[in-house]
Amino acid sequence: MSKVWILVADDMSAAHVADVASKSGAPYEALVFGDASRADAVAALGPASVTLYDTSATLAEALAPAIADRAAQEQPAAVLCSDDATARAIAGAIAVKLSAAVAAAVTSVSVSEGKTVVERLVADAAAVQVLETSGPAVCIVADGGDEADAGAAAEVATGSASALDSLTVLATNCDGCASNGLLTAEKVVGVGLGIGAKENLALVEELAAALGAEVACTLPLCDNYHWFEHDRVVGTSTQKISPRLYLTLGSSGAPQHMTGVRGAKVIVAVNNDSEASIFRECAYGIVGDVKEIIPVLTAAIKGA
Amino acid sequence: MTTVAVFKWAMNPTDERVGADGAVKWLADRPEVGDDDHAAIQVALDAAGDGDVTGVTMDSGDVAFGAARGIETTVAVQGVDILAQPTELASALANAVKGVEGVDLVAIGDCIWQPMVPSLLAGLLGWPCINAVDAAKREGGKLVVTRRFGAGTQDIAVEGPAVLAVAARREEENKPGMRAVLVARKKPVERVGAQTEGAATFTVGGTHEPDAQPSKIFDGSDPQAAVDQLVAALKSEGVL
Repeated sequence: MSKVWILVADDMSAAHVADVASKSGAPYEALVFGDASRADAVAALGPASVTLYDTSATLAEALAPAIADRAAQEQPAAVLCSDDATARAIAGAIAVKLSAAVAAAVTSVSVSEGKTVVERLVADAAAVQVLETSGPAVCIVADGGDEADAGAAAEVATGSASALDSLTVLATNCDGCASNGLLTAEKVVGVGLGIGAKENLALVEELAAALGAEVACTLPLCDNYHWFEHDRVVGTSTQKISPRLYLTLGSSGAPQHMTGVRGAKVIVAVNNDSEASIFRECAYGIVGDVKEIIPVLTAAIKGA
Repeated sequence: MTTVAVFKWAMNPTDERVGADGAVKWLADRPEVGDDDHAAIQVALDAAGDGDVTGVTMDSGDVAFGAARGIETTVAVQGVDILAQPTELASALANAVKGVEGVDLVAIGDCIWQPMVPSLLAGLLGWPCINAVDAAKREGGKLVVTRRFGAGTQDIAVEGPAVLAVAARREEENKPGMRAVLVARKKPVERVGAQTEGAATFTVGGTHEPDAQPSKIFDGSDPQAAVDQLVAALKSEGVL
């Protein structure tokens, strides 16, 4: 019988990838790269099985050939993962081993005997393209969307796989990562270039304090303007967050930033450019001058 | 040994449209230089040390982009369809890389629009892939690669061939001047045909509108009115 694999190498995206897999029409199995706590969290989503590959002493990418060999033996009809850097590296090896068709920005996968139908976002999410294959498929699931409900917890098996000896971790540099509250924050206020002058950050801080929110930023405000430390950046290849409320101020909605925040339950945007792409991605938006909106919003929240 | 820097290999996603017939179309008919390409070239140059660096690109537009940034020879791949799927792109690039003598490292942009092409390229070459790379340097015969890792970074020793997918942190700060660009256009470019045979692909069906609900947008010309509506909406969502 056909089955689906999900690859999980981060703590943010498993529930969403599992949701897509659980609606595929085929049982799904999880391959988790990391530690026992990550595996337990995935197991609680109700996959048919979970295999944990402990990467405390090795690099998950170094396991890719061995995981591809397992895929060749078990022949999953589809392999799903998020756009996490490590998961993608492993998925590439699997795709080549299986001679699989590959798609990104995938929103749904339907597996039936002899055919897999994949839907993916195209044209800046303006449309959904339908793809079919009679062979295996490897899919990068689009950010955002529903998360799998908790199911009957699967037992976690420990996987063993030979690792390439050409890759060795020398050091992990994460000064301040442990104290970063962004990853677990219920509410986050995000700042983009449209905030204007640096003095306006005081308005942002006051709003964040009223909300009880953490403050995040887009990459240019850290790397080009040095207004924030790097651990405040969310987006591609930095951090992904999934607060209940993400309120973004003066951000255009560049994909590099949105990749990091699509896990938020409710996205609110304030921007003076009505054509900004952020207004196609948010649940609520205000088209207006952030400097005028923020003080009014802060006062309203304090009085709420 | 030779390091390959891959640049200008992906379409610009802002050019992607869906026509009235439901088919995906591209406003431009060729790949464009990507946001990460300058960083990939820099990583290739840093990793190569005294070794050679060869550029690989799609044969359209500015094939001298790499030459203007220090690459001496460039291989331009001809005939890749603008609607090529990730496996076809990776196959074309892999075959071009295999045609370069003595390659032991490939640096390519970690393109957000084509997130699987670097790892597919690595798979086709039989090499490991490291994504989200910041930098690379030679230290005592070893290649040390720094990649983004959560909110921090991770240093990895690479002892053997590999594909590094490089994610630029910022726009290029020191772009080459006109003189360097003109000199670059005289550097050698070898043109090769794309080889994509055997790449597994999807059959493309139609398109339909997404299910996503439209955003609710308030007019901020009256800040108080807009904020009142927003706060009411957020209360109803249960997030305030």
